[in-house]
Amino acid sequence: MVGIFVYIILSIGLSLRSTAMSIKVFLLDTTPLLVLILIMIIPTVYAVSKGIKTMSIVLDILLPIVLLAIAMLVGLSYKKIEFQNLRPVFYGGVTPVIRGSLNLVHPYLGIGIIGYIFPSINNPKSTKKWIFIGTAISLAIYFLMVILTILVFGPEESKILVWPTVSLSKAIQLETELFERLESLFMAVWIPVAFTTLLTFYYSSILNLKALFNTNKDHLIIYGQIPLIIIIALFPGNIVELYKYLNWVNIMAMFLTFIVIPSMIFMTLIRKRRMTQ
Amino acid sequence: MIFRKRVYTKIIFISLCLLMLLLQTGCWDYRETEDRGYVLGIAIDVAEPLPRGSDDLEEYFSEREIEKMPLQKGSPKYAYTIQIPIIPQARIKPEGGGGGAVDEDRAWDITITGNSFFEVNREFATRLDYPAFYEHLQVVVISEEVAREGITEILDFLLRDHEIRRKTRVFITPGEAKAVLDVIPRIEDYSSLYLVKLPRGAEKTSRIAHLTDLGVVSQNIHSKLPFTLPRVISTKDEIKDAGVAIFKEDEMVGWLGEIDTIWAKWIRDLAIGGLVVVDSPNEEGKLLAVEIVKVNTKVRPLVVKDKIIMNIDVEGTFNIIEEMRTGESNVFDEEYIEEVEELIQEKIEREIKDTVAFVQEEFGVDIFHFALAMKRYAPREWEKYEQEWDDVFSNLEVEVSVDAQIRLVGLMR
Repeated sequence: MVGIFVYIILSIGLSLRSTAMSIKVFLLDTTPLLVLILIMIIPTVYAVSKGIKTMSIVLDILLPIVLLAIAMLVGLSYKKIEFQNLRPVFYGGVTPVIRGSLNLVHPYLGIGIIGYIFPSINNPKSTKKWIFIGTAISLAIYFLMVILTILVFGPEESKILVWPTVSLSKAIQLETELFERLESLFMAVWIPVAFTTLLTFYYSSILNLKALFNTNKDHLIIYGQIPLIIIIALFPGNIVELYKYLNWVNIMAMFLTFIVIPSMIFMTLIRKRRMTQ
Repeated sequence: MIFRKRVYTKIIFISLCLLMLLLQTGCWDYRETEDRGYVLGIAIDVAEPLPRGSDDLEEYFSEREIEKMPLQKGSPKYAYTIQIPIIPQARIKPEGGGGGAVDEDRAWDITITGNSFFEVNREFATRLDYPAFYEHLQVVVISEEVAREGITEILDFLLRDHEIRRKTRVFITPGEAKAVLDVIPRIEDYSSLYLVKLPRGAEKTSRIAHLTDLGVVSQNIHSKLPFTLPRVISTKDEIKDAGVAIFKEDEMVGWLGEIDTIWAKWIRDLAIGGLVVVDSPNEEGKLLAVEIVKVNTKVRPLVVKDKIIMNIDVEGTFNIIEEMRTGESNVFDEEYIEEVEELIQEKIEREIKDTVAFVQEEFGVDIFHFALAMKRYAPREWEKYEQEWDDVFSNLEVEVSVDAQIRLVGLMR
């Protein structure tokens, strides 16, 4: 439980920092980091404090915009795609593919939020379909993004870029002067994406803390976390350190998903069986 | 009491709203469009003072003096020139009366010698009242002398900086790079915009290399592939873009002529337009020209024991555009078309083989990216040959098979 709490609060802080950093690099040069972080965190806290209904409406509004932007990115970079970049396929067996996929555990754990909002669902049976669709969409987007980067930049270049997707949006320029600075448009969509992640993680963090301290004091927990998150977000000295910590978080995520959660399920199963006996 | 409380909250709320208005006036990084110095092009030369024929000597030396800067480290190696448009001047185009309009400068080319581009870039602020802004950078022109020493040193900043786009085009010039930016074009306002539009001509002729932006250069350097960059030459008011410079790793090793550029592009499957000229089938000395509609090239390696054979499959569709014997012969004839197709196939096959042999012999540099074909289609064999690829490339054999098809013959029979 404590592990999950630490993991979630670390990932909130660090993703906040990485978003703020990339905004600073690409859009707002001289704006202080703290201001960017505050601007991100204030609406998050506000939405969370309004309860799950507000949150779901906000996410509902953002989803089509985000999907549209990603579809646009895919469509516009179509001309630069080189399918040959994917070759040789499966050279060296399946092991490198699996080893590479472990890096995606942390980003993909976002779907773990389904577990947190499950108690708020009125009719769990009919939601099954939508849970499946949601998981499929996120899976498709991660897949598309990774494939697209490799298709456009090639494997060697993708290794070097710090923010491949933003670089991708910068690389797009049509013959006509229609999308001269597409990256600002893309960043404008990317910030809401980061916001949705923050929002959901924040919500789960609140539920975690409530269960951990066994309290019902909503406001204390919601506002009490802010300084902690800001401290975490400001802690890494530079971008290299930030990525080191993100890597640690990823390892933690792997530990949680592959060791802690299965053992927890196992334990509950044993307990249940004992109860029935 | 309750009423009064409500009024207070309302007042507080409204004043908060008004306070917010104050914050809405602008963002931290706000800057007016006309306050930026839009850099359109960068030219990179070696740092020796270059001779300038007819310039007034005193003026020349005073200008040279201002172009120097004390460096934090080392002695100046490069001379960087940036081009900034003089906007009000460009808007009023000189009316072409009998008075012989004086060609006034439309753009300002500022040169400073230095080592690191960033240091020079900030030194521009000592002479320029607008901060240099690189988001709209169009071209980078590099002189041959610099290119022969290696270009990673100068390209790193251009790739690392967040303002500069990966779509920025890179050109190599045999002469002085600054001279290319100094061109006063006849139609366009600025030489950089003139230069950046030239590669669009690749749809018309394959003599122009068109896929040569910073992103592509960086991809090739990082995947350790040789690459080519277009060659430009300039006069006072004209720029010509034809032929390519060959780069191995990041150093230029030589020039490839216009004709060889065509066939190199065909092999790389980059040909998006152009033509093929062959002898007319019926009469000696008369020519026949066909235009490319579409060309597809596939390169597949074939490893037999210790020998590597590159199979180059070319599939092309063409239109007959010019046949120098109007009225004398009937183009509208199945046999004739077949004959032409065969002629084209022969010609393409011969030319591609010649080009590959020429590059193998002259440079020994794999500009056709046969290495990529090996990596993709024969990864096991590639691992064996990876270390000594340059030697292998110089000795490998090429098989060419061409399938040419004629679609249209123009308006006349």
